[in-house]
Amino acid sequence: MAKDFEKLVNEKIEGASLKDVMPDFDKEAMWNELDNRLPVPAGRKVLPLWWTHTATVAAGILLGVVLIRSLYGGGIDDNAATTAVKQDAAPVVVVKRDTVFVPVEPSGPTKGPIVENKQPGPHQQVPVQQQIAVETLQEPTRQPVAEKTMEQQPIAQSKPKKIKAVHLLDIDNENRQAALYHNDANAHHRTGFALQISTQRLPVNNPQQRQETLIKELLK
Amino acid sequence: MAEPNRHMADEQRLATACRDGGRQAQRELYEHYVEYMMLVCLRYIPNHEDAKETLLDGFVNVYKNIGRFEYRGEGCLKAWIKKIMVNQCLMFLRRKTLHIVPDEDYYDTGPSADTDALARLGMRELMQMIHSLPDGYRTVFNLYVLEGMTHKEIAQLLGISENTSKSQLHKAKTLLQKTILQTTKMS
Repeated sequence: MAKDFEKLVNEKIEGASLKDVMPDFDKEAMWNELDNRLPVPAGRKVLPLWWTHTATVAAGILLGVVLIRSLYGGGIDDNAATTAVKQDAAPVVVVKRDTVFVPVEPSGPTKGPIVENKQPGPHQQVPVQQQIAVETLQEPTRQPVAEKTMEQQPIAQSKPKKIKAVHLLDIDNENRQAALYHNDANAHHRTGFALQISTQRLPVNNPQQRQETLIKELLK
Repeated sequence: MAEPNRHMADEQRLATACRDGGRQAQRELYEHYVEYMMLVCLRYIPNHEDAKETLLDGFVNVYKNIGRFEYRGEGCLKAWIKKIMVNQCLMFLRRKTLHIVPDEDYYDTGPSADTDALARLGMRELMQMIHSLPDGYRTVFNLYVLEGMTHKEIAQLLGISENTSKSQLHKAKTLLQKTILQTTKMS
Protein backbone atom coordinates (compact mmCIF):
# COMPACT_ATOMS: atom_id res chain seq x y z
CA MET A 1 0.00 0.00 0.00
CA ALA A 2 2.77 2.35 0.90
CA LYS A 3 4.49 1.51 -2.32
CA ASP A 4 1.31 2.30 -4.22
CA PHE A 5 1.12 5.66 -2.48
CA GLU A 6 4.73 6.49 -3.35
CA LYS A 7 4.32 5.29 -6.91
CA LEU A 8 1.14 7.32 -7.37
CA VAL A 9 2.78 10.49 -5.99
CA ASN A 10 5.74 9.93 -8.30
CA GLU A 11 3.58 9.47 -11.38
CA LYS A 12 1.44 12.49 -10.53
CA ILE A 13 4.40 14.79 -10.04
CA GLU A 14 6.46 13.53 -13.01
CA GLY A 15 3.52 14.09 -15.36
CA ALA A 16 2.71 17.55 -14.00
CA SER A 17 2.87 20.75 -16.01
CA LEU A 18 4.58 23.86 -14.69
CA LYS A 19 1.53 25.92 -15.60
CA ASP A 20 -0.49 24.00 -12.98
CA VAL A 21 1.95 24.96 -10.21
CA MET A 22 3.38 28.30 -11.41
CA PRO A 23 1.17 29.88 -14.10
CA ASP A 24 3.09 33.23 -14.02
CA PHE A 25 6.43 31.66 -14.96
CA ASP A 26 8.13 33.88 -17.64
CA LYS A 27 10.49 31.73 -19.69
CA GLU A 28 11.87 34.67 -21.75
CA ALA A 29 12.68 36.79 -18.72
CA MET A 30 14.44 33.86 -17.11
CA TRP A 31 16.56 33.35 -20.26
CA ASN A 32 17.56 37.02 -20.34
CA GLU A 33 18.65 36.76 -16.72
CA LEU A 34 20.60 33.59 -17.50
CA ASP A 35 22.19 35.16 -20.59
CA ASN A 36 23.56 37.98 -18.46
CA ARG A 37 25.16 35.49 -16.10
CA LEU A 38 26.76 33.36 -18.79
CA PRO A 39 30.29 34.27 -19.96
CA VAL A 40 30.75 35.78 -23.43
CA PRO A 41 31.73 33.12 -25.97
CA ALA A 42 35.39 33.17 -27.05
CA GLY A 43 34.63 33.90 -30.68
CA ARG A 44 32.45 36.87 -29.96
CA LYS A 45 34.03 40.07 -28.68
CA VAL A 46 31.60 42.64 -27.51
CA LEU A 47 32.89 46.12 -28.04
CA PRO A 48 31.43 48.82 -25.90
CA LEU A 49 29.20 51.17 -27.82
CA TRP A 50 31.18 54.19 -26.70
CA TRP A 51 34.36 52.67 -28.14
CA THR A 52 32.88 52.34 -31.64
CA HIS A 53 31.46 55.86 -31.48
CA THR A 54 34.78 57.33 -30.36
CA ALA A 55 36.64 55.50 -33.12
CA THR A 56 34.19 56.80 -35.73
CA VAL A 57 34.51 60.40 -34.54
CA ALA A 58 38.33 60.19 -34.42
CA ALA A 59 38.45 58.76 -37.94
CA GLY A 60 36.21 61.55 -39.19
CA ILE A 61 38.36 64.24 -37.59
CA LEU A 62 41.55 62.74 -39.02
CA LEU A 63 40.04 62.57 -42.50
CA GLY A 64 38.91 66.18 -42.26
CA VAL A 65 42.35 67.39 -41.20
CA VAL A 66 44.00 65.52 -44.08
CA LEU A 67 41.51 66.98 -46.58
CA ILE A 68 41.90 70.53 -45.30
CA ARG A 69 45.67 70.34 -45.41
CA SER A 70 45.67 69.00 -48.93
CA LEU A 71 43.28 71.72 -50.12
CA TYR A 72 44.67 74.76 -48.36
CA GLY A 73 48.22 73.93 -47.36
CA GLY A 74 51.30 72.96 -49.44
CA GLY A 75 49.83 73.89 -52.86
CA ILE A 76 51.59 75.89 -55.66
CA ASP A 77 50.45 79.49 -55.94
CA ASP A 78 50.89 80.90 -59.49
CA ASN A 79 50.45 84.49 -58.39
CA ALA A 80 53.40 84.39 -56.02
CA ALA A 81 56.11 86.91 -56.56
CA THR A 82 58.74 84.27 -56.57
CA THR A 83 58.60 80.62 -57.34
CA ALA A 84 61.41 78.49 -56.14
CA VAL A 85 62.14 75.29 -57.98
CA LYS A 86 64.37 73.03 -56.04
CA GLN A 87 66.12 70.18 -57.68
CA ASP A 88 68.04 67.47 -56.03
CA ALA A 89 71.78 67.90 -56.30
CA ALA A 90 71.29 71.09 -58.35
CA PRO A 91 71.39 74.78 -57.67
CA VAL A 92 68.12 76.46 -56.68
CA VAL A 93 66.58 78.46 -59.54
CA VAL A 94 64.50 81.38 -58.43
CA VAL A 95 62.12 82.84 -61.00
CA LYS A 96 60.89 86.27 -60.16
CA ARG A 97 57.58 87.44 -61.53
CA ASP A 98 56.06 90.79 -61.10
CA THR A 99 53.38 92.99 -62.51
CA VAL A 100 54.85 94.98 -65.38
CA PHE A 101 53.08 97.78 -67.15
CA VAL A 102 53.28 97.18 -70.86
CA PRO A 103 52.42 99.95 -73.24
CA VAL A 104 49.50 99.05 -75.44
CA GLU A 105 49.76 99.73 -79.15
CA PRO A 106 46.61 101.34 -80.48
CA SER A 107 46.17 98.79 -83.25
CA GLY A 108 47.72 95.62 -81.93
CA PRO A 109 46.86 92.89 -79.47
CA THR A 110 48.40 93.03 -76.02
CA LYS A 111 51.37 90.87 -75.31
CA GLY A 112 51.03 88.49 -72.48
CA PRO A 113 48.08 87.80 -70.21
CA ILE A 114 46.03 90.79 -69.21
CA VAL A 115 45.68 90.97 -65.50
CA GLU A 116 42.82 93.46 -65.37
CA ASN A 117 39.53 93.03 -67.11
CA LYS A 118 39.31 96.63 -68.25
CA GLN A 119 39.59 97.31 -71.93
CA PRO A 120 42.75 99.31 -72.51
CA GLY A 121 42.39 102.61 -74.17
CA PRO A 122 44.78 104.05 -76.74
CA HIS A 123 48.27 104.88 -75.59
CA GLN A 124 47.74 103.30 -72.18
CA GLN A 125 49.84 100.87 -70.20
CA VAL A 126 48.40 97.56 -69.14
CA PRO A 127 49.65 95.59 -66.14
CA VAL A 128 50.97 92.19 -67.21
CA GLN A 129 52.52 89.38 -65.22
CA GLN A 130 55.93 88.75 -66.72
CA GLN A 131 59.05 86.98 -65.76
CA ILE A 132 61.45 89.66 -64.84
CA ALA A 133 64.45 87.80 -63.52
CA VAL A 134 65.87 84.37 -63.18
CA GLU A 135 68.43 83.83 -60.55
CA THR A 136 70.37 80.78 -59.89
CA LEU A 137 71.24 80.53 -56.31
CA GLN A 138 74.29 78.56 -55.64
CA GLU A 139 75.36 77.59 -52.28
CA PRO A 140 78.50 79.39 -51.49
CA THR A 141 81.35 77.02 -51.72
CA ARG A 142 82.88 76.63 -48.44
CA GLN A 143 86.61 76.89 -48.63
CA PRO A 144 88.58 75.68 -45.79
CA VAL A 145 90.04 78.53 -43.88
CA ALA A 146 93.80 78.41 -44.18
CA GLU A 147 95.32 78.50 -40.84
CA LYS A 148 97.86 81.26 -40.68
CA THR A 149 100.82 81.14 -38.40
CA MET A 150 101.29 83.66 -35.73
CA GLU A 151 103.84 85.41 -37.85
CA GLN A 152 101.52 85.64 -40.89
CA GLN A 153 98.44 86.81 -39.06
CA PRO A 154 98.58 90.57 -39.22
CA ILE A 155 97.54 92.28 -36.12
CA ALA A 156 96.39 95.78 -36.68
CA GLN A 157 98.34 98.12 -34.51
CA SER A 158 98.15 101.84 -34.23
CA LYS A 159 100.99 103.97 -33.27
CA PRO A 160 100.72 104.81 -29.67
CA LYS A 161 99.84 108.39 -29.27
CA LYS A 162 102.41 110.33 -27.58
CA ILE A 163 100.79 112.17 -24.80
CA LYS A 164 102.16 115.63 -24.55
CA ALA A 165 102.48 116.93 -21.09
CA VAL A 166 102.19 120.66 -20.95
CA HIS A 167 103.26 122.78 -18.04
CA LEU A 168 100.54 124.98 -16.66
CA LEU A 169 102.53 128.13 -17.39
CA ASP A 170 103.02 127.06 -20.99
CA ILE A 171 99.33 126.47 -21.72
CA ASP A 172 98.65 130.08 -22.79
CA ASN A 173 101.87 130.23 -24.78
CA GLU A 174 100.96 127.02 -26.53
CA ASN A 175 97.52 128.27 -27.37
CA ARG A 176 98.95 131.52 -28.77
CA GLN A 177 101.39 129.60 -30.88
CA ALA A 178 98.60 127.31 -32.17
CA ALA A 179 96.51 130.35 -33.06
CA LEU A 180 99.43 131.87 -34.96
CA TYR A 181 99.86 128.62 -36.86
CA HIS A 182 96.21 128.20 -37.78
CA ASN A 183 95.38 131.89 -37.94
CA ASP A 184 92.51 131.30 -35.50
CA ALA A 185 91.68 134.09 -33.01
CA ASN A 186 89.79 131.72 -30.65
CA ALA A 187 92.54 129.11 -30.37
CA HIS A 188 93.28 129.94 -26.76
CA HIS A 189 89.78 128.80 -25.75
CA ARG A 190 90.37 125.24 -26.76
CA THR A 191 90.86 123.02 -23.84
CA GLY A 192 91.89 119.47 -23.40
CA PHE A 193 94.38 119.77 -26.15
CA ALA A 194 97.62 118.08 -25.31
CA LEU A 195 100.61 119.49 -27.10
CA GLN A 196 104.03 118.18 -27.25
CA ILE A 197 106.44 120.31 -25.48
CA SER A 198 108.59 122.01 -28.01
CA THR A 199 111.51 124.09 -26.79
CA GLN A 200 111.82 125.64 -30.21
CA ARG A 201 108.69 127.68 -29.79
CA LEU A 202 110.02 129.66 -26.90
CA PRO A 203 112.19 132.57 -28.07
CA VAL A 204 114.60 132.31 -25.09
CA ASN A 205 116.89 129.34 -24.58
CA ASN A 206 118.01 130.43 -21.11
CA PRO A 207 115.64 129.04 -18.44
CA GLN A 208 116.01 132.15 -16.27
CA GLN A 209 115.30 134.45 -19.15
CA ARG A 210 112.49 132.28 -20.16
CA GLN A 211 110.92 132.54 -16.73
CA GLU A 212 111.27 136.34 -16.75
CA THR A 213 109.61 136.50 -20.10
CA LEU A 214 106.71 134.42 -18.87
CA ILE A 215 106.23 136.64 -15.82
CA LYS A 216 106.17 139.69 -18.01
CA GLU A 217 103.62 138.16 -20.18
CA LEU A 218 101.42 137.31 -17.22
CA LEU A 219 101.63 140.85 -15.85
CA LYS A 220 100.41 142.31 -19.17
CA MET B 1 11.79 3.40 -32.87
CA ALA B 2 12.40 6.34 -35.04
CA GLU B 3 11.27 8.71 -32.28
CA PRO B 4 13.76 7.50 -29.61
CA ASN B 5 16.58 7.55 -32.16
CA ARG B 6 15.68 11.09 -33.10
CA HIS B 7 15.53 12.05 -29.42
CA MET B 8 18.93 10.42 -28.84
CA ALA B 9 20.38 12.30 -31.79
CA ASP B 10 18.96 15.56 -30.47
CA GLU B 11 20.49 15.02 -27.03
CA GLN B 12 23.91 14.25 -28.50
CA ARG B 13 23.73 17.17 -30.91
CA LEU B 14 22.67 19.55 -28.14
CA ALA B 15 25.42 18.42 -25.81
CA THR B 16 28.08 18.77 -28.52
CA ALA B 17 26.84 22.19 -29.60
CA CYS B 18 26.75 23.46 -26.00
CA ARG B 19 30.26 22.13 -25.45
CA ASP B 20 31.43 24.36 -28.32
CA GLY B 21 29.99 27.36 -26.50
CA GLY B 22 27.32 28.29 -29.02
CA ARG B 23 24.73 30.61 -27.50
CA GLN B 24 22.00 29.30 -29.78
CA ALA B 25 22.58 25.69 -28.62
CA GLN B 26 22.51 26.84 -25.01
CA ARG B 27 19.19 28.55 -25.66
CA GLU B 28 17.80 25.40 -27.26
CA LEU B 29 18.87 23.24 -24.32
CA TYR B 30 17.27 25.77 -21.93
CA GLU B 31 13.99 25.73 -23.88
CA HIS B 32 13.94 21.92 -23.77
CA TYR B 33 14.37 21.40 -20.03
CA VAL B 34 13.57 24.65 -18.17
CA GLU B 35 9.95 23.82 -17.22
CA TYR B 36 10.76 20.31 -15.93
CA MET B 37 13.76 21.59 -13.96
CA MET B 38 11.66 24.39 -12.47
CA LEU B 39 9.24 21.78 -11.13
CA VAL B 40 12.19 19.87 -9.65
CA CYS B 41 13.37 23.00 -7.83
CA LEU B 42 9.81 23.75 -6.59
CA ARG B 43 9.61 20.29 -4.94
CA TYR B 44 12.56 21.18 -2.67
CA ILE B 45 12.12 24.96 -2.31
CA PRO B 46 8.58 26.24 -1.66
CA ASN B 47 9.45 29.91 -2.17
CA HIS B 48 9.12 30.75 -5.89
CA GLU B 49 11.85 33.39 -5.94
CA ASP B 50 14.35 31.13 -4.19
CA ALA B 51 13.44 28.33 -6.58
CA LYS B 52 14.06 30.59 -9.63
CA GLU B 53 17.43 31.68 -8.27
CA THR B 54 18.42 28.06 -7.70
CA LEU B 55 17.29 27.17 -11.22
CA LEU B 56 19.51 29.89 -12.74
CA ASP B 57 22.51 28.78 -10.70
CA GLY B 58 21.84 25.22 -11.81
CA PHE B 59 21.83 26.08 -15.52
CA VAL B 60 25.06 28.06 -15.14
CA ASN B 61 26.65 24.95 -13.68
CA VAL B 62 25.21 22.83 -16.50
CA TYR B 63 26.85 24.97 -19.21
CA LYS B 64 30.03 25.17 -17.18
CA ASN B 65 30.37 21.39 -16.83
CA ILE B 66 28.83 20.27 -20.14
CA GLY B 67 32.31 19.23 -21.25
CA ARG B 68 32.27 16.43 -18.66
CA PHE B 69 28.98 14.97 -19.91
CA GLU B 70 29.19 11.60 -21.64
CA TYR B 71 26.24 10.34 -23.60
CA ARG B 72 25.25 6.88 -22.38
CA GLY B 73 21.75 6.36 -23.70
CA GLU B 74 18.33 7.90 -24.14
CA GLY B 75 17.37 10.38 -21.45
CA CYS B 76 20.83 10.55 -19.92
CA LEU B 77 21.18 14.28 -20.62
CA LYS B 78 17.88 14.99 -18.81
CA ALA B 79 18.93 12.82 -15.86
CA TRP B 80 22.35 14.52 -15.74
CA ILE B 81 20.83 18.01 -15.69
CA LYS B 82 18.26 16.90 -13.03
CA LYS B 83 21.07 15.63 -10.79
CA ILE B 84 22.81 19.03 -11.02
CA MET B 85 19.55 20.80 -10.13
CA VAL B 86 18.92 18.57 -7.09
CA ASN B 87 22.44 19.20 -5.82
CA GLN B 88 21.90 22.93 -6.28
CA CYS B 89 18.65 22.74 -4.26
CA LEU B 90 20.39 20.83 -1.46
CA MET B 91 23.17 23.42 -1.37
CA PHE B 92 20.54 26.11 -1.00
CA LEU B 93 18.82 24.23 1.82
CA ARG B 94 22.17 23.69 3.61
CA ARG B 95 22.83 27.44 3.39
CA LYS B 96 19.37 27.85 4.92
CA THR B 97 20.67 25.64 7.79
CA LEU B 98 18.74 22.55 6.93
CA HIS B 99 18.70 20.67 10.18
CA ILE B 100 17.43 17.14 10.29
CA VAL B 101 16.84 15.94 13.84
CA PRO B 102 18.29 12.47 14.25
CA ASP B 103 15.31 10.30 14.90
CA GLU B 104 15.77 6.61 14.54
CA ASP B 105 12.46 5.71 16.10
CA TYR B 106 9.85 4.90 13.53
CA TYR B 107 7.08 2.44 13.33
CA ASP B 108 5.15 1.36 10.35
CA THR B 109 1.79 2.50 11.69
CA GLY B 110 -0.61 5.23 10.84
CA PRO B 111 -3.51 5.81 8.47
CA SER B 112 -3.47 3.83 5.28
CA ALA B 113 -2.90 5.65 2.09
CA ASP B 114 -6.02 6.53 0.16
CA THR B 115 -4.88 6.20 -3.40
CA ASP B 116 -8.29 7.17 -4.79
CA ALA B 117 -8.21 10.43 -2.89
CA LEU B 118 -4.72 11.01 -4.08
CA ALA B 119 -5.71 10.36 -7.68
CA ARG B 120 -8.51 12.92 -7.42
CA LEU B 121 -6.19 15.48 -5.94
CA GLY B 122 -5.06 18.33 -8.17
CA MET B 123 -1.42 19.01 -8.88
CA ARG B 124 -1.46 22.41 -7.20
CA GLU B 125 -2.98 20.99 -3.99
CA LEU B 126 -0.45 18.15 -3.90
CA MET B 127 2.44 20.56 -4.32
CA GLN B 128 1.01 22.78 -1.60
CA MET B 129 0.81 19.75 0.71
CA ILE B 130 4.42 18.82 -0.05
CA HIS B 131 5.48 22.45 0.57
CA SER B 132 3.73 22.42 3.93
CA LEU B 133 6.04 19.62 5.18
CA PRO B 134 9.10 20.62 7.29
CA ASP B 135 12.34 21.01 5.32
CA GLY B 136 13.90 17.77 6.59
CA TYR B 137 10.80 15.66 5.88
CA ARG B 138 10.29 17.19 2.49
CA THR B 139 13.98 16.71 1.43
CA VAL B 140 14.10 13.04 2.35
CA PHE B 141 10.63 12.44 0.80
CA ASN B 142 11.76 14.07 -2.46
CA LEU B 143 15.07 12.19 -2.58
CA TYR B 144 13.52 8.84 -1.86
CA VAL B 145 10.14 9.00 -3.63
CA LEU B 146 10.84 11.32 -6.53
CA GLU B 147 14.60 10.89 -7.12
CA GLY B 148 14.66 7.18 -6.39
CA MET B 149 17.66 7.26 -4.07
CA THR B 150 18.27 4.64 -1.40
CA HIS B 151 18.42 5.47 2.27
CA LYS B 152 22.15 4.74 2.19
CA GLU B 153 22.69 7.27 -0.57
CA ILE B 154 20.44 9.81 1.18
CA ALA B 155 22.35 9.30 4.42
CA GLN B 156 25.68 9.89 2.69
CA LEU B 157 24.33 12.92 0.85
CA LEU B 158 22.76 14.61 3.88
CA GLY B 159 25.26 13.42 6.45
CA ILE B 160 22.73 11.48 8.49
CA SER B 161 22.29 7.84 9.36
CA GLU B 162 20.18 5.45 7.36
CA ASN B 163 17.75 5.03 10.24
CA THR B 164 17.28 8.79 10.47
CA SER B 165 16.56 8.87 6.73
CA LYS B 166 13.97 6.10 7.16
CA SER B 167 12.38 7.89 10.09
CA GLN B 168 12.18 11.18 8.24
CA LEU B 169 10.55 9.49 5.23
CA HIS B 170 7.96 7.71 7.39
CA LYS B 171 6.98 10.90 9.13
CA ALA B 172 6.74 12.76 5.82
CA LYS B 173 4.41 10.15 4.35
CA THR B 174 2.27 10.01 7.48
CA LEU B 175 1.81 13.74 7.57
CA LEU B 176 1.04 13.84 3.86
CA GLN B 177 -1.58 11.13 4.07
CA LYS B 178 -3.29 12.86 6.99
CA THR B 179 -3.46 16.07 5.03
CA ILE B 180 -4.89 14.29 1.95
CA LEU B 181 -7.58 12.60 4.07
CA GLN B 182 -8.54 15.87 5.70
CA THR B 183 -8.77 17.58 2.29
CA THR B 184 -10.94 14.84 0.74
CA LYS B 185 -13.21 14.73 3.82
CA MET B 186 -13.72 18.50 3.63
CA SER B 187 -14.48 18.39 -0.08
